[in-house]
Amino acid sequence: MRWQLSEEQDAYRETLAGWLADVAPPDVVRRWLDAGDSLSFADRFAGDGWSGVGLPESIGGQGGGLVELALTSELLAHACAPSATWLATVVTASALAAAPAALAVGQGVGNVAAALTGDPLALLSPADDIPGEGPRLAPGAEGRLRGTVRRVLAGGVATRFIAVVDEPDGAAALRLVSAEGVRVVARHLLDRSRSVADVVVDDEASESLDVDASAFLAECAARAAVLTAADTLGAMAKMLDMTVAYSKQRQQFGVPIGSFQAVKHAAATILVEVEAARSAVYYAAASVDAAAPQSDLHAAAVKAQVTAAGSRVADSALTLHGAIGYTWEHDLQLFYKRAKLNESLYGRPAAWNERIASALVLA
Amino acid sequence: MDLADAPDEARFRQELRTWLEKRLPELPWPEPADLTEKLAFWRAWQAMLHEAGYAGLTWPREYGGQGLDERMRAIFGEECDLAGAPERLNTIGEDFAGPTIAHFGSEEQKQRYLRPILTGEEIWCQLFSEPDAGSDLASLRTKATKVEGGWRIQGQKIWTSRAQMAAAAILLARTGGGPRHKGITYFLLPMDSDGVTVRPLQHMLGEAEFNEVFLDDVFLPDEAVVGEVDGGWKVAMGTLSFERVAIATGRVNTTKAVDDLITDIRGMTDSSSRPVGADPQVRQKVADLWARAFVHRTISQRVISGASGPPGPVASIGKLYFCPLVEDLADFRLSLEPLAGQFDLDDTSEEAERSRRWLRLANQARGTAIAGGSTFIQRNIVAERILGMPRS
Repeated sequence: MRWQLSEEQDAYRETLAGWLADVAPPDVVRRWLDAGDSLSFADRFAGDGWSGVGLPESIGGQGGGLVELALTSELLAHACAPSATWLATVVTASALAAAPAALAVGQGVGNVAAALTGDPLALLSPADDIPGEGPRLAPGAEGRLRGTVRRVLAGGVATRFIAVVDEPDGAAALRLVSAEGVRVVARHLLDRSRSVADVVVDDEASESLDVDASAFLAECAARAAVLTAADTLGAMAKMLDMTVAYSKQRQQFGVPIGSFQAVKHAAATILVEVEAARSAVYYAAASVDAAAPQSDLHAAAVKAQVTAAGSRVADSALTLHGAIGYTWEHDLQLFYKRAKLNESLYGRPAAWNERIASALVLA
Repeated sequence: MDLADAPDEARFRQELRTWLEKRLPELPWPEPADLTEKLAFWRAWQAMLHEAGYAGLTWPREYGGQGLDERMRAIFGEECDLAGAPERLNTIGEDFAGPTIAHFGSEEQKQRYLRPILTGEEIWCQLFSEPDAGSDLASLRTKATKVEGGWRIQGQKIWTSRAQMAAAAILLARTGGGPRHKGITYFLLPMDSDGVTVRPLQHMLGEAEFNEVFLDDVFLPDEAVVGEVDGGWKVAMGTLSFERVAIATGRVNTTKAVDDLITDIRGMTDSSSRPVGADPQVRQKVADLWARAFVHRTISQRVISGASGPPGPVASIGKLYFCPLVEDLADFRLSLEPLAGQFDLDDTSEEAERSRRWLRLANQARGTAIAGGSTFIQRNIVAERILGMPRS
């Protein structure tokens, strides 16, 4: 095997990083987050053609796969760009694209194609549940749906939702619901770079989405896990950069605090977390793309390990910054909150560990 | 990212697997626990490897190696672990001394020393650490004085694994050309030289695994010098970079160890006859260890994939990720036994014997965290050299 990004992937990474430096520098991001504005960035991102990356060319995407999406996720977090819309859309759209049955009937193609033009699509499931493990809606007569789903990622901005409903035989089925008829109650997260909303569906028409629900949800889960871990990788790498730079500049006892062993050891420990995460996240992304043996466990492993590491790294970076890191004014809090949310997003480490334990058939 | 074996990797793996299946049962199992008895067992194994062309996989062909790259060595390690091959006894020879001689040594040194490492005839040890030179290796005081035709060595080395059975040693001594690392020379020392005394030291489980080595007016000819006189630090850094790849890619196959842990747990019940694997805390812990072993595997593969270029940050962090993982893994397995693995090596009860392998692994993991620069010192080095933080 070979652990290496391709030349195209390296070039993509460099181009996107350059674009983000232009479009989403720290002061601009700060303005968006203070104003609760996620649309300015989302529109620009789609408008400049980034939303097709990671989706197959056959359906109008720009090609590439989950490795390219993971690179995107890492860099979006590194800039702390508002990315709930992108994440919610790309998890569902790439999972649809991975389900050939959907593309054959044409309906999936339409939804993926709409996602490419920046038409946000979200799974109607709580943001803190593993996709497929959240509560299901009960279908009413003629496909009308009723119920409230709390804490939906990008719930306030999605134009269409994929709802998970109970079939009479207890299996899951998927239905498409337009956002036009639902009521959305915005919730307010500490991390202003992502958003969730409670979605109230009150006797709303829906159309059947002819896709194998359990296969689609498994794809969503694996992709959500890898992309959230990649997001944490980006946030951790940024916090490491900020911490090291601060430790060289901040003087106490007449010397830079970075000369203290306590500070060096904490920084070195963060580096271990960052490089371990990088090694595993890109491997897991490639594994899910290739549907390799145990790829679902590789995704679970990076979600559990990397997002838990991100939470530890955030606390360490905060302590290393001292009081300035504890302020609203300093940007560290943006990445701190992003890393903390990632630990809960799409299921906490304990839930993913339980998945691993079940698959290992311990008892 | 290419997760599958390349065609040459798949071919190598398949041939090796077939060979291991056929030849491993021919050894006089069980593998002895005692180091001296283990030596004969290991020699028989190493001779088989050499004969079949599996010794010195990454060494140059002209000195008996196979001229393959790190990928094949990694596959070799994986397959040997899976098949339950004997423990390696000559890691200093194969991983440190051999590559150093092949890279920095004279033609005469290569001809003399490389082949007997591959055949298993000569075991090596490393005479670097001293009582007052551990993490601060450049403060070593063993002295080499110039005499007619060579050098006289005077000093003491310590923590020397395998010295009691080694035929030769890589040795650092001060030749006095300059302060600290500027005045050090790298020698090759036959351990049967006059004036070499080896005294065993017991590690904390009571086994004499490492040693003190006293060097009293030992003569070494000029031909024993590797590289330049007073230029030994550069050669030693070469040895340590070979060591770093070996450590980052793991002395212990953590994936195999977790698999063994899982197999054990599937067969265990608690005092109320409930399956241990149904306990939520056990499930969380095993999943965590499995996931960390997966991460460790990806780190190793990244190191191996980049092994041809300069060592990047990932090679330096390998040890820092690996050591606590092995400690946690062995400690957790021991915690599932009565008295949590507190039985001494001379307790011969079935329950103590059952977990002895994990007790040794738990202990060995502590040793690895200290050997070759303790993890605390390693963090200083990582912070200063990779993150560019100021020296204290």
